[in-house]
Amino acid sequence: MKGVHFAIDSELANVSLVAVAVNRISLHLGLDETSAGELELCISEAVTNAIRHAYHDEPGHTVEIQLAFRAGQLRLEVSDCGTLMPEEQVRRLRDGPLSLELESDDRSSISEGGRGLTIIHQLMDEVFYDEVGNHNRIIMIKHLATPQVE
Amino acid sequence: MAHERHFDTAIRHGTLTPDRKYGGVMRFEERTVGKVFIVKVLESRIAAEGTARFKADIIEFVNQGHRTLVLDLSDVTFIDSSGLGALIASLKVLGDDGELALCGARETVSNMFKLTRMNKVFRMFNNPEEAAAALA
Repeated sequence: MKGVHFAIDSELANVSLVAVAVNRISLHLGLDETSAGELELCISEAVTNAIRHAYHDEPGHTVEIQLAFRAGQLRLEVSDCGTLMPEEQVRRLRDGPLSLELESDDRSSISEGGRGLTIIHQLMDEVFYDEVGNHNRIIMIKHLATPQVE
Repeated sequence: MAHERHFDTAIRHGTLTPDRKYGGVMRFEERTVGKVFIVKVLESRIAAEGTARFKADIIEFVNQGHRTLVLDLSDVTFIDSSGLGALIASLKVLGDDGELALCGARETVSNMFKLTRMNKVFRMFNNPEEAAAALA
């Protein structure tokens, strides 16, 4: 199994570095541009979520990212040692939203936030969350099409 | 005819002052066609690290009196949920009688709008000319 491990300081300015790396590595591993873009988005949302909600936008903490690739799947893991994820967010990540449709046409009622975990749920094939000691860990798996053998 | 409309005003670059409070600078190119104010985002990413600045800049355009805005996203290759949030916040500042439309979204960006159903909230056009003609 091939893999790479990154660690960044908990600053939003570092998120794009990881996101761009994941996109480029995905392309290198043979994923198409759409899938690579989706993985870039999911890793970006997961790492941003860790910085904002686990570390409350406070620099000086570590967010760890692991990418592992083997036949048939690409696995991304994001872990932090911050505040544990509230149950409601875990549910959104695991089960997705009750409905994707807008509840109203009224502009003022449209939520400005809270879409990150839903996006991960929608774009990844499998998503897991667990608490390991005082660690938050999100595992995201994308199934890859197996090359056809003639 | 709409397609003969000319962009008659000088293009201005980066007219908004960088502000340390929000971190970073978003670069824009602005032009006006009739009542339509077209803002081209000269950045490849609208992501969490820059969205506070981005939102403040768009709201500043609204506060300058622009009520019909078109954001040209043709240079943008990546937008995350924070970027969407900034656009929604800007839409709310405009209120019900203003318009914030988008144009030139690449596939990755327009996929994000479809995924979150925001394509039903923002009118999306292929290019600035089409947007200006529709909103004039």
